[in-house]
Amino acid sequence: MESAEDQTTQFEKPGDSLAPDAREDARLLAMVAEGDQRALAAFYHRRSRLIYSLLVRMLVNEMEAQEALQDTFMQIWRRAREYDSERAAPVGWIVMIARGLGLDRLRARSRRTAGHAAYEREVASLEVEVNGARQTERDELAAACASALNNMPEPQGRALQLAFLRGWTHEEIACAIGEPLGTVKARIRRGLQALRKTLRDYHA
Amino acid sequence: MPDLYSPEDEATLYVLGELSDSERREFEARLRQSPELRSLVRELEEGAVALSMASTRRRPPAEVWMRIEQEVAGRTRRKVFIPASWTGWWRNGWAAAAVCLAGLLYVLLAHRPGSSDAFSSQVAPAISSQSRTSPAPIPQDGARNMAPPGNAESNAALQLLQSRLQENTALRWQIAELTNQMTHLSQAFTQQQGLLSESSRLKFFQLGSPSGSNGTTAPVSPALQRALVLAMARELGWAPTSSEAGGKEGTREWPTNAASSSATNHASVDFVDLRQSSNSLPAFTGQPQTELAQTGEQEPSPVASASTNVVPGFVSGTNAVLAFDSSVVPTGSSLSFLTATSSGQFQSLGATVLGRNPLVVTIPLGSPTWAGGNITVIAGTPNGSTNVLGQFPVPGTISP
Repeated sequence: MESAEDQTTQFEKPGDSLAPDAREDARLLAMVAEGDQRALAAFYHRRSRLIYSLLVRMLVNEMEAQEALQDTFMQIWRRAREYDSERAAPVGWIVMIARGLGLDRLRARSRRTAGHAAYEREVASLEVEVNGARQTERDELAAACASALNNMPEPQGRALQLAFLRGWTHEEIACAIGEPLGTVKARIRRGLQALRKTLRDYHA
Repeated sequence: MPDLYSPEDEATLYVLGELSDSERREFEARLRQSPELRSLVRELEEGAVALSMASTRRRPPAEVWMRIEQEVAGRTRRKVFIPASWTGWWRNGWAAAAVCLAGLLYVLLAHRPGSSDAFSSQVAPAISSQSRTSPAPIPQDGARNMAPPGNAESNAALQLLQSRLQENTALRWQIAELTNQMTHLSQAFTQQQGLLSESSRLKFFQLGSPSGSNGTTAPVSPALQRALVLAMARELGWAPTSSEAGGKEGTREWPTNAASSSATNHASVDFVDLRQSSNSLPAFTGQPQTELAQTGEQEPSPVASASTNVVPGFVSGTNAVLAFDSSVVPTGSSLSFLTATSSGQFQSLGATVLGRNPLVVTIPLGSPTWAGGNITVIAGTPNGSTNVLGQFPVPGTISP
């Protein structure tokens, strides 16, 4: 495990879209790795809203999202020593932990059938969640990211969200919409890159 | 992994978690060797973070953090207090004895005279300034103050123990404060009860008409309020009574049927004292309301103005004082005061007539004859109707 200072210097890379927040995240994560409960509290204070919002979006159930949020931060508490700043920014690392736990819960609900009807249902549920959001907060960065997602071509935005938020594979999406696998792969990859650009432009 | 996947596709599948375990291990091995691949993965992960940020922002309920805090504390506590090397001890029962002894020692030390105060003074500011539900950012130099990684768990456990001790102390303070408040309230209640039982204390009441059962009463008129204040001043000795007033107060013939009662006027308020006639009251038998009603017209008209007003008064020692004016009964009404004896007979305490001035009537309650009974006030209006203005109990030992 690297020291907090060693880790934070690694976020001074040019063009790193998460650099402004990454330094403080990394410092706290390093302290959490050393068993500092106050650092965990501070890290929760900084990142719980992002993770909770993601989990609500994935699970469309606030109670389950709260349980998954708890599980996420317990994983962070236990696995902070495993964090490698060479491989991911701190926020990327915890987003992936939360997403993995969210997907576990989605899979535990029922066996998914990846047909066209299921695709339509999932797309509809994504729309409902967006419009039915409660207890919201104003956040310029969130608004910029949401705007970038909404401005994508519809098939690209849907494929990206189904893959990331619902855990659909590229093949399942391609099969459901009757398009070539390569097209779906390219849409998803380019969608992620476009969103990353939004993040970078915002911090620039 | 299929050959048709490009490094970009592989990186996307890796970020989205679609690789199998063996594919992921193989990809991670290449990731360690390739800065370009790491850069690509990082770029896609940042896109995933941006996608997460696109979700409508929500604040989780405070309970979630409390649960995390408890779970973290529980894990730390288990690790510290039940280490693996103790398991043999535990089976033999020695650990239980040791824990009990440690607990006993803690209780004895924590409750030493003076120890609680000293500890409390150190921890109280920390308790009050620390928010459990909204964790505050930690200081920038916090990392430098931490214990080495090898001692992290025991350090965390000590912090936890300290925070629990602080909570204990704060709770003890709260209990002590609540106990004090309860004692004060109990004392105040006892004092109030004692004051009420003092015979020299004024106790205020209002007579309501039995016919006015609609629950609405008019406020006491300003003239009546003034009359009551004067009556209180007389009762407390702050203003001269009729016997003390001499020539200063107007004394005139008063239309009362109690020959020996005194009637005076003071500051435009008429005072009638029935005390002096109470021992020579003529016997009054029968049903007062019925008989009085029969003395008037066959079909008495109701006294609308009196049915909604109340008669204010107070009890001072062994006397009851009632105040009347035209807001209670019409001017010129006769007022009769009756009591029931312990044998069930009615006696007249006296009667008077309401003039243009407010009228204050003092009624004796001290006679053992009617102790425990009720005093009834009846008004006979100039147009011949009668009305029971109200009743009030006479203090005494005989049950009504």
